[in-house]
Amino acid sequence: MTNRYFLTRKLIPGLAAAAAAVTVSLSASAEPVKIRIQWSVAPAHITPLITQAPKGIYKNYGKSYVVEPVRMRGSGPALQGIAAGEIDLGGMSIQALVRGVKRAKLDLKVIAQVMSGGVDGYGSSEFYARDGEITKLEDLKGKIIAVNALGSSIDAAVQAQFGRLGWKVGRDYQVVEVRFSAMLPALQSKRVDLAPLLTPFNLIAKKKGGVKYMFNMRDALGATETLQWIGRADWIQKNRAALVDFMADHIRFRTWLYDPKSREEVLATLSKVTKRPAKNYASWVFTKTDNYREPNALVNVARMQKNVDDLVRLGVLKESIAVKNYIDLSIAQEAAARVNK
Amino acid sequence: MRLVHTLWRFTPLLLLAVVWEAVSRLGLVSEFALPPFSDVVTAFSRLADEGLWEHTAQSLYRGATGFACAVIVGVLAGVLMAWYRPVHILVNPLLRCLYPMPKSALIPLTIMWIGLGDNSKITLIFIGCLLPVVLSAFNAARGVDQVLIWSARSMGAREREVLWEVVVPAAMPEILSGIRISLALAFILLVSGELIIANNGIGYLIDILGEGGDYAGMFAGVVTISTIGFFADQGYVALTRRILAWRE
Amino acid sequence: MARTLGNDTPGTAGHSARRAFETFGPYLTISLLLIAWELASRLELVIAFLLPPLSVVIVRIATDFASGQLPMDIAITLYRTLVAFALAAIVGVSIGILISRNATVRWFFDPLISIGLPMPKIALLPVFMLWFGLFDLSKILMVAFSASFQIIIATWAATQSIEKELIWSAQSLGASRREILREVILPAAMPQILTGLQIALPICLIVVLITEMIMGGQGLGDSMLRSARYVDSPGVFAGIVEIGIVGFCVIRAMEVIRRRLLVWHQETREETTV
Repeated sequence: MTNRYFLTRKLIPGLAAAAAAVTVSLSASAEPVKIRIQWSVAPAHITPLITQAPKGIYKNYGKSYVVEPVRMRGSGPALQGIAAGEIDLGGMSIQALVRGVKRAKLDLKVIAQVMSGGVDGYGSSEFYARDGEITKLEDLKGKIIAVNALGSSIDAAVQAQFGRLGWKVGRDYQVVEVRFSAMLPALQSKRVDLAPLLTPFNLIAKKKGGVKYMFNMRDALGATETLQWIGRADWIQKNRAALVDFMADHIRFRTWLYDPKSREEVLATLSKVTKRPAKNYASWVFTKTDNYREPNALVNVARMQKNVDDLVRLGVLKESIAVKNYIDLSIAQEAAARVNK
Repeated sequence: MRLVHTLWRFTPLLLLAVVWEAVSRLGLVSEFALPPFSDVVTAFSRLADEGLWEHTAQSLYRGATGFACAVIVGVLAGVLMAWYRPVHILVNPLLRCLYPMPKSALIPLTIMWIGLGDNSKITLIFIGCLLPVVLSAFNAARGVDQVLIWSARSMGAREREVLWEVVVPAAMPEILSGIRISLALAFILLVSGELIIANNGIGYLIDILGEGGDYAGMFAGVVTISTIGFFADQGYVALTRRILAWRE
Repeated sequence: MARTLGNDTPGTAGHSARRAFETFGPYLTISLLLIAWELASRLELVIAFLLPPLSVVIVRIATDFASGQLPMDIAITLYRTLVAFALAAIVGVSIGILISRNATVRWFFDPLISIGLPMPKIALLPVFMLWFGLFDLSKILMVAFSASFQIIIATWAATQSIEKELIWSAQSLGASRREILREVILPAAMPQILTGLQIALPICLIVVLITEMIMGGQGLGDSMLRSARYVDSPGVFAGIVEIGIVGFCVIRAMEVIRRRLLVWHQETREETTV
């Protein structure tokens, strides 16, 4: 790189841009934008892996932006964090988006897909009963069904599945709340009769035996946009340039996650983040058994609208929204064009 | 001899470990709810190489700060409430409303005012530890024998001297017993505060391990913090004995 | 009584002003806080989602009360709290007294209490759930278990801090062990045991609310968590206010009981000056 090149191509436009930025907005500064992203469970959320990625993937990290993963349980606190400006992006469900828009009256935008369930050729959350006692869905009449939370997608799937038999919750079956981590023991010890076992619990259960697969989320609700990155529209607009940089790096990161060549390194990173041995993940994580992660982080708008409509129909959501008004794919698209050119 | 004595003292803990191991091995409780003690020990040795101590140190820092503030503020508030009626009238209603609040219910407020950082957790620990200290200081100071106070006065002691040299020392045993409960609560609160929002700390570790299905690891975290709490408690009791030695 | 002998309300103008302060003072702090709350949200210093106006929250509480949902939730939460508290009190005080009376019991429980006291006992909730089911029983036992440790050590400390002369003189008068326990130790330890119970009761309430938040099954904790999940801010803040009020009443009731039980004691003696 010659001095002249540096002067004309980098320094002068750079200075001009900086001057422009200063005049346009006093808040703009040379500091990289800090992007605080909420997550709850890894590896469903890949957010905590971001800061552990090998050098070279997140090229602009530390230049135009930095990422701070923030672990928060539950979409309630996450939305409060977004509203208070304490976090910038939440890894949240569709229900959180709709309630955030309608109830909290926040101006939210979905900018990226994080995880989708039941997509063709990929994994979907599975429901299990005890083997030997239950053979078909009808046997569950009058039984106790475990869900992680009332009003969650799992709850909606149970209602949808039993709805096909004409069953109603409370009348034909009972629903109780059990944490995901306690589902398997609750099922085994006969405290509940049907429970969703997320990976790795379904793999553990199959290995131990004694459980019977009943149905999955895909049977109940079709493909679902499970998690997405959602932030405040004004914050996204203000930091759009940094977000495009971040998203471009993040698309490279997703390629790295799914690349067989980097498999070992990915598992080691995941193991470091979750403090669990890599062998727990080797057979399923970031494969076709796992949930689907769109390579370019693009949300499927039609699918999301169908999910919202389903949730409203089932009564899980009280209000509906036209999701296309709350999705901004341009950042991911621009980033994808930059990476894939 | 000393060693034998110490071993004998801690034998019940050994019994506890044996019962734990048996309950789990005999299938009285699912190994997913309570993994055998031996598995927990294995998980512990693995986690010790993977940042267990860093997480613990982070939590202990939060816990110690919140606890220290609670002790200082709590003893002051409790004694002053007993001594000056206006303080009691103004402060007590506030405390009564705050005590029975699960700290997680206050999260909407802390997010708004304190944010998500260390300070929010320290605040929650502080509030949680405050009750036992205030209450025992208040009850103890109120219950101080009147004769002591009268005789101090008759010897010409000023009000402030009576307060700090007669009332507080006389109330000390009960205050110290209240602080012991707070000390233990601090350990519980530092874990529970990190379950909902945190990027590190032993509570964070316990939660991500539990969510991932690593129950042995989760209990390794629980046992670690309980053990540290155990030594803190034993140390505190020894300290209390020394402080109160003059009473015997 | 210390507070009457201490500096009484310095600077108050006269008798009536002091009377007014005595009557309205307790409401002063809370009222100021509530006014600040209403103002903060009315003046839009904070958006309504983060802090809904107090008036909205009050309306919400009134609606829930009228619909019968709120009285039901309060009844369920209080029922769990009080049953668990009674259980913890009986077990805790008994073990505490046994510990102070019997060396073997002390040897056995001392380290167990030391480790159990600071343990995050909520981690055992799955075990309670598997053994005692998903409903009331597991919640109540979890709560009683959590709170009994505090009561044990308060009782133990209380019996320890009794002046030895008191026991010696009773012995020299020929009192039996039983009589000493009933006539000397228990009365002398009572104030401090009650302090332990006063600390344990709100802890019971807190743990009940937490188990309700985790396991559902109605009650104030469940309803508050549901509001949070449905992004229903007035509901969340109504929950905070309701818990505050219920807690206030529970603690107040405990103070009244304490005064009844300790009529003979220093702290409850009539004020000597006005």
